[in-house]
Amino acid sequence: MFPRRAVIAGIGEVAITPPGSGRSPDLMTVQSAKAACADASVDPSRIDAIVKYTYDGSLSSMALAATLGCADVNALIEIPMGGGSSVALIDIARALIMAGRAQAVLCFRTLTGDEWLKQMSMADPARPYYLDGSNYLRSSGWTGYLHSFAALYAQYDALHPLSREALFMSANALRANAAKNTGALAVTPLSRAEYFEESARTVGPFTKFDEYVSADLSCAVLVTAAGFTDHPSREVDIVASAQSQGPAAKTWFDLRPVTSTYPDSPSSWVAQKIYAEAGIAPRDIDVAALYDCTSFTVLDLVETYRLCAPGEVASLLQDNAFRADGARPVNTHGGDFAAGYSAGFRHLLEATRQLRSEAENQVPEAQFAVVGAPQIGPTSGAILRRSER
Amino acid sequence: MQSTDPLVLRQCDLQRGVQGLADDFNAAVRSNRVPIAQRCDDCGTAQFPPMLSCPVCRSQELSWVSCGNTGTVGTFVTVHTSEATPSMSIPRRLRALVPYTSVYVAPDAVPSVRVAALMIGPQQAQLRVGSAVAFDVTDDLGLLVNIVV
Repeated sequence: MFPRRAVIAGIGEVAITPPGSGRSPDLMTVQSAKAACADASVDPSRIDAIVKYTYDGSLSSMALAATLGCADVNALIEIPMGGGSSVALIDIARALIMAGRAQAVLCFRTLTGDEWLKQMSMADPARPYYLDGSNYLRSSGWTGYLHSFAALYAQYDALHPLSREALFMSANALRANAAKNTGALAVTPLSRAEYFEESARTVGPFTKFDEYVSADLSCAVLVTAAGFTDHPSREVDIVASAQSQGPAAKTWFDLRPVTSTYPDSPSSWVAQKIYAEAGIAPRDIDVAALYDCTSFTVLDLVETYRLCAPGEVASLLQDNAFRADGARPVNTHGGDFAAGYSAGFRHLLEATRQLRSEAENQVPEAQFAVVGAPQIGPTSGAILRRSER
Repeated sequence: MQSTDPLVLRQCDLQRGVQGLADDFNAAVRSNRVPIAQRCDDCGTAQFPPMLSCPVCRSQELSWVSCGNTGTVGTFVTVHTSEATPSMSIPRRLRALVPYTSVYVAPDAVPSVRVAALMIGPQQAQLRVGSAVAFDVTDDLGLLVNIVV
């Protein structure tokens, strides 16, 4: 009876556009939620729990429950982990289902451009630690989240030299994958001239081309108990999921540069947990969808999730391994980096499409997918499996 | 129990919460003109940034300690542009100093932490993870580090 198995039963989204589309984020959330329910052939009234990111200002979980006409709701949950929340939404949904506390859990993320940056920086007396980045790092020139990833890069580079050439290749690998997906925003290759232009440099190894493309988007995932819908062949099994704050837990995301545990990180702890729970090895993963706010972030996560040996990710790029027909498919939709920033949540939709054989940039016979959130602060990850029914 | 370690400066003021602790930290740096970390009086665990309780032994007896004069670079980030973008904003008083580098340093006196310091000037080209640096607390730019040659 318990624990019940949890599956991704439905996914839905509205069209991705560049920022400034003028669409209401509230309405986009309602629309993507209904689309996920339609995809699962589940009436929205049957949703009995909602999980969202705290920093999603589109619509409160309470308002969404009322608007969708949910018959009753057993839990309204908000996850405070920034980008680390992406797979945590699914992990919490799964926990509710495994415990028999819910049967159909709606998870969503809506973003309009860079509103999320403002929302994460807003004064909030209920969360006083958010100022620790400013209070302790600002005087030494900390500039924002890019700083934390640039600091990570320097530590990686000290262990395994990673050239700017490799970051250029990473950016273009993601764009090449995006180009195979309708509606992705950054689909043209970057030229060497524009990328290596000195005035393009920003922070650490990065140029302005090494960051995600902003978007207006909204996407939703309906997590249900296995067998809840009438379409078992479209259910994607969540065989493992986990969260972790990792070694040397700090009070706020930006403080990771003052820790010294690298390459151990919140994501390496998540990886350990999910491979153990799933009972599979990294070589069994057919497609990965890993957080990619920068061209380096995803490379580090490929190694963190042990999808190649330490120091080897640059040679994967040389071999075009990230392509759907490559040796190590990664972010086949172009990721947030090139398709449009979703705080990592849209990776779950791509992983689901891959495992249903419904992806535009399809990995042949994909059976297992790993989805990973960022390695800076408390984070999450999951292993998904194609339905065997 | 008051520590007799000569590195100890004074106890932290925890009574005003998180922001009060940050204010107390900055006051201690200004008045002592040394890099500072927090250390538990009972178990000796050091923290940066400081917290309201020792995460190892849960003691509330916490003190500011001097981090001494030198350290080793754990990681660093060089800022190349003074233009703001949505994902980055440069502290106003540092804009004229670009390129500058934020350096995260493990003090030789308290190697279990890293403190945050600023590096300016041509020496940035020599900076590496593992570089030996010397601390310098300045009035206008706060905690600086310079490469030890």
